Amino acid sequence: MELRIDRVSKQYKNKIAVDRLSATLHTGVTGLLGANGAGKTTLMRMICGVLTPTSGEITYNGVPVSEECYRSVLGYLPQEFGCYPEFSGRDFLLYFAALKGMPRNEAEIRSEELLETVGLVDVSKKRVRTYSGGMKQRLGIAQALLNRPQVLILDEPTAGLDPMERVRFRELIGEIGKSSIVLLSTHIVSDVEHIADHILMMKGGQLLWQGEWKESDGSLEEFYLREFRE
Amino acid sequence: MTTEAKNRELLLLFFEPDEKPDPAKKEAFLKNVMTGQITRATKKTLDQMLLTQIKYIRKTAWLAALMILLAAVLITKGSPDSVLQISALTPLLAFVTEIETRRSYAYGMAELEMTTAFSLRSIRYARFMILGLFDLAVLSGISLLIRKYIAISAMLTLSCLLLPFLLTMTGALLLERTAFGRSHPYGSGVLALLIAAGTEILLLPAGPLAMPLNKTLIMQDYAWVLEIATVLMLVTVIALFCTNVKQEAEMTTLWN
Repeated sequence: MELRIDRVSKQYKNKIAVDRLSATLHTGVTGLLGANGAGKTTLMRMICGVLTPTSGEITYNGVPVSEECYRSVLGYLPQEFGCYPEFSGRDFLLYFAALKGMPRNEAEIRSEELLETVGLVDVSKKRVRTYSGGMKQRLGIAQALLNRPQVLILDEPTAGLDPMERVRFRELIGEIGKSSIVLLSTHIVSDVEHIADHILMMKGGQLLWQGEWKESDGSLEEFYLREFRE
Repeated sequence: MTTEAKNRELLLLFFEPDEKPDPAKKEAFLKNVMTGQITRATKKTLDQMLLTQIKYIRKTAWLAALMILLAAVLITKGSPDSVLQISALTPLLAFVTEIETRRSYAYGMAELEMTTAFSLRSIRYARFMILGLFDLAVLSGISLLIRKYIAISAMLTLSCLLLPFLLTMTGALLLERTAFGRSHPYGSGVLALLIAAGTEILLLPAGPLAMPLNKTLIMQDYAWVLEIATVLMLVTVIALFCTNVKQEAEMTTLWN
């Protein structure tokens, strides 16, 4: 499995959000670090095919990310998302299961499984608009995992989660990373420090640093702060 | 050859290594495998997707059309002279239909729906087609009802009903392209009310297009103008919708 980002740029009028970025992602967890406005979300949207790059190309196993077949193996959690007001948590998952092309029976089983995994079984029949921020975030994570994605893109997934939920989430992502490509963006270094095999650091739309990070390399946070200060 | 020898030969065939495939064709092979698998899955569930969208279209969208049908039945029974004023209700139907096709943006679901196998574009087309056909069926039914009371052609009756509907849809789709329209999805409701009011004024019993029940409609002489205008507006609405969906796929203005 290989997600190739080849000299990708995204320009809006007089602003360059992503500037000639190249990277190759393989199976495992990749942490995408950067301050607010670094271009992380724009890059992730391009990887998901939501935005078209101004130049460059993104492919998955040779298939451009604009193709429908790629979306069938993609799971995405955006930074912010809404919900139709009449939907319960279960309705939300079943709706997206249908959009992901899952047969009804399979969708029901998988939704139950995921509601259990993210701890929302007790509130699954309640309207999503009554959920707290953390509950909604967990529902979003469940949605991203419906189709057992080969490529999982998570934009600030731990926002709104309490410390215990964040630990559970890290364990879940670590497991998924054993068989899928996971790209996780955050500006909180501790979210990725212990689970990411590969780190990308962005600043001003450019890739500041990329490489493997092991515990023996020391504190990722100190390294991150040092790189950004330079 | 004995049976044992034949079995030994077969086993050897299974375990003998074949020629290695050309590594240069690896990417093309992977692409074919993935697209082949997904194409089969997609075809199998495409009709399921359409049925799903019918299920997820809000009841208000269906009810709006049925309410207009009910109004038509009541008006034709109670006040046959005013039967063509039903046309004034069709802009409201157009508003409800147009809003339903772009709920994804109104409720912040668009970004998620863009990344599914059946993406936002398919969803919008499906909703547009389903509701468009349903509305057309209801309006055709109403036109048949009206023809019981006014001796005018079916095409002209349908044109009278469709013109305000299509005018509202055109305005709403043009509004969708503006920053104001995108941030105020219910703004086309005001447009619908204005067109409804204008239609009502035109068709009042004492109005400029008043038509006594048993006499030929004053505009029957210009029926071909109305009918051509209806067809042109229908084509315009479809073209505008398709280009809007195509532009939204990029969503650059949304994130500028």
